[in-house]
Amino acid sequence: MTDQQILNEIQLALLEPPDNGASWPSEAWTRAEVLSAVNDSIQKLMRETSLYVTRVEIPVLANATSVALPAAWMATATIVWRDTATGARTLLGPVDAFEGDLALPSWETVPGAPVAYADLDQTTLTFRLVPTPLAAGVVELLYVARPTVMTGEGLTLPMPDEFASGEKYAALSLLLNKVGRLQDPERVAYCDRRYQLTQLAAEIMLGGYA
Amino acid sequence: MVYVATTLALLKVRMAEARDTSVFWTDEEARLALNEALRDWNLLTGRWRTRLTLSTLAATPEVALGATMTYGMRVTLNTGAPLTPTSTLELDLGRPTWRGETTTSGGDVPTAPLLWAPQSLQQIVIWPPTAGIGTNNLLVDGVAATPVLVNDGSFVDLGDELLPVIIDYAIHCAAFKEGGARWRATLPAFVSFLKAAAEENSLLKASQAYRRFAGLDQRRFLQLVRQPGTQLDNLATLAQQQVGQGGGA
Repeated sequence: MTDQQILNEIQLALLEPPDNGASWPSEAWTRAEVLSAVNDSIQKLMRETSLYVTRVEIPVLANATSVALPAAWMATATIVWRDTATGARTLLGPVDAFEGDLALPSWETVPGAPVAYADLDQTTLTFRLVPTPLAAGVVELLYVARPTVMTGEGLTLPMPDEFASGEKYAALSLLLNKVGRLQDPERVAYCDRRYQLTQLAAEIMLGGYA
Repeated sequence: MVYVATTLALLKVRMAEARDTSVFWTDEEARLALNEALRDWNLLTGRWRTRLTLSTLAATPEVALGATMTYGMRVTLNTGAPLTPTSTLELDLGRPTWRGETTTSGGDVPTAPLLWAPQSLQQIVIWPPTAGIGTNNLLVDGVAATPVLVNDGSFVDLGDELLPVIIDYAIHCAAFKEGGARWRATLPAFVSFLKAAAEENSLLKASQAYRRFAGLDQRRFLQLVRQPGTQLDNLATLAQQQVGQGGGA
């Protein structure tokens, strides 16, 4: 399914004449605004469900206090620490500095074998290992990458057609929630639930059997 | 289950009949609404299935499923031996060394792939991966992309018993643009669609969140003696009222 097809469906749902999203004669929304709603919806579903993940291995030096994330990083799915010398792998859990300080007060100053990662306490696109690694190793990062931006020029949506309804209704929720003459809280609530339904189906598919 | 080839033309006629000919949609809107019904049905139930024959790369656990399969459900070797489903979380926690192992690692590592787990929608991992390239050694059963109805002659394999559910959902979808009372009147059709999907897909039926969504969480009413009501009950009731069910299934 292409971005123009989903724009067409959104136009029909909003009583705009369908022309692949080229024009919005009601002037309630602009083309850029609708495209932004579609892109926001795609990113939201990707980020919240880890629908597609990318794997990368990041070498980390001993005593490194910060590790750079890939430029397209949007969310972390899992991080595994692999010790270079022994090859031992440890699944790391997400923490923040507060948890690190309470659980392991010396985590910043006394290096050790990492047991967790903190990706919210430093500048964006970086994370820290908790505790700071004593030896060199490799971070096996599974992350959700930022999807291709839809431009309304016939690009294929970055997910199977089955998820298009979730995208459509998430975008409609944003558009119908705009403060203005066409604001419709009832249909916004419905659209939000439609998005949640798609999210739930994705989680069931990806949940594995754990 | 009996399958019949149902054409888009027939589905459109059934849609018009279901509204007592008070049609408020164009032909194109009907086509899009029917396609939406089909893709949502496939999302929730995995109705259309397919089998892929895939090759494994040397010492690489990841296996890409390709664009024709929405997600994998069963994996076997070409010898017929099924792989046991698991998750990457279980692998990382239960066997931290799994990623570096292959079928020739020796020790307690099997000599053929034994486990598989979904990693993302169209990618799975297997353990242990083959040491060398395995040509056409993996068979994956999964959900195929939803058929798309393009013109009146296009058809889809669909059991007759599902036609009312699909038609009613398509009308509900077409009524969205109307809003207000006309659209609200079609909400029970959407709930019926969700219930029918849960009947088909036991995983959905087992999901508490889905059961609340579809108004299926009636089990608690059978356990009044053991379980006092909770705040969640009120939330479920409110959610059902919102979709016009008033708390009944």
